[in-house]
Amino acid sequence: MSTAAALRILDPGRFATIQDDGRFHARQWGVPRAGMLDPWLYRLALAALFHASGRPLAALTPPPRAAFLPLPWPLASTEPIRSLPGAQWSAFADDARAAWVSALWQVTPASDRMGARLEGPMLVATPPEIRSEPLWPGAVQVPPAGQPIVLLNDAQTMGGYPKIAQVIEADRWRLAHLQPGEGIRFAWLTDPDNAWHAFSARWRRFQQHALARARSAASATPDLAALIGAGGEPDPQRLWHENLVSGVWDATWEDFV
Amino acid sequence: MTVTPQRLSETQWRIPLGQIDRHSAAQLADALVTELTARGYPAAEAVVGFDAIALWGCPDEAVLSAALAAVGAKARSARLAAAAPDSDPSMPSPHSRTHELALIVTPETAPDLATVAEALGRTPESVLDTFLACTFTVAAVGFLPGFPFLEGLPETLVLPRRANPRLKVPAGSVAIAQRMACIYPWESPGGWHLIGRTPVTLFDPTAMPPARLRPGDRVRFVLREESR
Repeated sequence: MSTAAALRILDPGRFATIQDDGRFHARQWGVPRAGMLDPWLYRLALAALFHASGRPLAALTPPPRAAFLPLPWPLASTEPIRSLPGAQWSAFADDARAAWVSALWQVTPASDRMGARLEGPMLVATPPEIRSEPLWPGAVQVPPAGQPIVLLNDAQTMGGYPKIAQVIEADRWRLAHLQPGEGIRFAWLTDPDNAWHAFSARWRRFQQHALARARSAASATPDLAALIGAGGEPDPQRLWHENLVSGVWDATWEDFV
Repeated sequence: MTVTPQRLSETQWRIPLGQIDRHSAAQLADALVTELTARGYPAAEAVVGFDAIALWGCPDEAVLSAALAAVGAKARSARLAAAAPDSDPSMPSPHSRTHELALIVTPETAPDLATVAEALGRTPESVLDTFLACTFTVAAVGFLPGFPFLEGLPETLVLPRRANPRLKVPAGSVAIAQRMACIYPWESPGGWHLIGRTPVTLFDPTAMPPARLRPGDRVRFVLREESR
C-alpha cells in the first residue's frame, strides 16, 4: 500500500463518496467488495476523464475539459430487474416466489450502499433463519420481517437470512440508481445460462452505444479521442491496457482483448 | 472428489464442500483461486462457508469444472482432502495453527456471563471453566472484517441468541450463541451473549494476511490475571 498517494478534499458537497474498483481478493478476510455500484457508468466516467492507469487527475495538463461533458445514458431500462433463484429459494412457499416477481416493490429510505431495502408483500421463509453463509452482492435476503433486501457492494460478507433470489450481475447496477419511493419489478430468469448471455448483451450495447456517444461528445478532447479510438471503433486492446475496461464486470473479455 | 457447482449468477457460484475439514476447505479455496487465475480469471475469489465455498469471478462452467478437477487431483496427491466421507468437518486438521487468545472477564467486559449462567442453571465460574477448556475451530471468517465463527462450543453452553440484539457491541468482545463462539473485531450491532473481551487485534489492514484467523485454525482462550 503506497503512502505517497494523497487526495485532498476541498469541498465534498452533500453525500459525496469516493469510489474505486473496489477490494478484490479480500473477501476471504471478511472485507466487502465496496467500490462503485455501477461499473458501466464508472467506466464511462473514467473514459471521459481519461484517467489512465496511475495518472493522478491533478497532474493532467491541460485540466480535463471532459469533466463536465453531458454523457448520454443509453442503458436505462424500464424492464423488470432479472434474478435467478437464490440459495434458499426452496425455503419460500409458492405464493412468496410468485410475489417476488408480481409485486411492484417500493424502495425505502433506509436503502444505502449495503443494500436496497424493499417494501411490499410479506415473504415468509421456513425456517426464517439459516446458518450463516457467504454472500455475494445481488443476493436478495429476507429477514424475519418478510421485507427483502437486495445486497449491494458494501454488504457484509456472510449472513444468516434466507435468500429468495439473486439479482443477475448484468442488472445489479440498476438498483444503485433507484430513489426512495420509486417502484421496481423483478423477473425470474429461468435458464441460468441466459444470465451469462444477458451479461454479454449488456456489454455489447455498452460498447456500441455508450462509448461511441462518449467519443463523439468528447471529440474536442484529443487525449480522450485517442484513448477510445478516434474516428473508428474503440480499440479494445487499448482500453484494456489503460484500465478503462474491466476484466471483472466484462466477463466476455475473450471477445475483445 | 466430484462436486457440482451451483450457478448463482453470471459469475457467482456455490460449490458444495462435502465432508472435509475446515483447514482443507481453506486450502481448496486458495488452490481454486490460483487455478482460475492461471486459466485467465485473475479476479476470481473464494470464501469458505460452513457447507460450501462461494466463488465470484468465473463465468465459464467448463473452466470452473476443469479448475475443480485439477485442484481435486492435486489435493488427492498431496493428501489434503484425505478426510473420511463421514468425518466431522469441525475436526481439527493436523496442519491447523493454534492461537491462544487472552480473555479478560470482568463485569464490564462480560455483561452477559451472569444471565448466561442463570439460563443454564450453573454458576458463572463453571460456565467460564467450561468455556476455557474448549478448543475451537475457525469454521469461517466474515460478516465483519476478521470476524471468526468458532465451532466447538459444548452442548452444555448452548443458548439461543439474545431476544434483543445490542446496537453496540464493543470491539474485542467474545460471545456465544447456539453452538458457536465468536469474536467481534469491531464495534458493531450484535445479538450474541458477551462473556469476555480479548485485547488481541484480529484485523490489521497493514498486515498480510490482514485477518489473524483463517478457516481451520484452532483457538483457545487464556484467562488474564485481572479477570474475575
